[in-house]
Amino acid sequence: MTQGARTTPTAGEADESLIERFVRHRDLRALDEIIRRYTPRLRRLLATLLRGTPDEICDSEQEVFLTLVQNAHRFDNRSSFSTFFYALARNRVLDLLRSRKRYVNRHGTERSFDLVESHYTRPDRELLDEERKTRVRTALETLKPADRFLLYMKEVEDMSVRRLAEITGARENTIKSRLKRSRDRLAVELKDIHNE
Amino acid sequence: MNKHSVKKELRWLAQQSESEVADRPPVTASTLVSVSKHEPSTLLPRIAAAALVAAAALGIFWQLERSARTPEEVPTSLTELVEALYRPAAENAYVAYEISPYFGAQPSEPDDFMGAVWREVSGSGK
Repeated sequence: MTQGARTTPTAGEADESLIERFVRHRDLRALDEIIRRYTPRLRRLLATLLRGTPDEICDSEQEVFLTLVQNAHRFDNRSSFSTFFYALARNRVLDLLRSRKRYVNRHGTERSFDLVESHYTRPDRELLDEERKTRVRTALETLKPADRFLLYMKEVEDMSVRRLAEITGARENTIKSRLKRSRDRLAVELKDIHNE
Repeated sequence: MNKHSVKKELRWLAQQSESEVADRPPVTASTLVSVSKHEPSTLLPRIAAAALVAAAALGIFWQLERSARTPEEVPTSLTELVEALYRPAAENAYVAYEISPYFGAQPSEPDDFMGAVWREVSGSGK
């Protein structure tokens, strides 16, 4: 499984092999390859669940990868690297969601000023999209942070219930019931979104 | 709205949100490693916090233990035991003094009456 310490990572090389090279030999090219593979999904997750400017989203992304660098030595091949990564990412994302909730509670809903201002400058289609985005995000925020993460991973990333159970350490039946509860809640919150 | 519509809305939101940050370059491994070297260790603050909690718990335990062993609270001799018993007896003695005339007794003063009770309880009158 272990490849040469300084060989160029190939597209087909397993994540587990890459992270091992980084931990054992501090191979930065192996870590760069891991980052390249996981950035799109992580960025989509953060951009969807966190309200923030692109700079803030990228800062959060860096924080998650930093957590990976600090904890990479704990990866022991008992699960896939992907499961290990998403478990770390989940913990970090939940921390960020909770801290953002405290921020929003103190300072009101973010971006509300931008929305009012934009009425005078943006075309109709863009405004409608912005409003729809706010509605879906607000509905999503009625769920607990942990349930938001589960629903996102299931519906957007098509992650199986089994994988979600591995990542969270919860039982599959628990995951299923939490997903159902979250879907039902969102369906109620968004019931009139197409009727307006 | 049904289950599939919820999925559709979430995917639409993800797609929209993703497009806002799509042009940003990913972080590099060298930046991360460099930042992680300057990141303050979280181990020391954790040890300090654990030590503080342990010290506080020990202090509370010691205080409880000490107060539990105070001679006034826990009798360590027969005399102290009698004293401890005397207090409630003395309180009852006032009541007894008040109602004693109804039972034919006529103590001269409350203190005398309580003194008699004390002697009775402690056996010092024998």
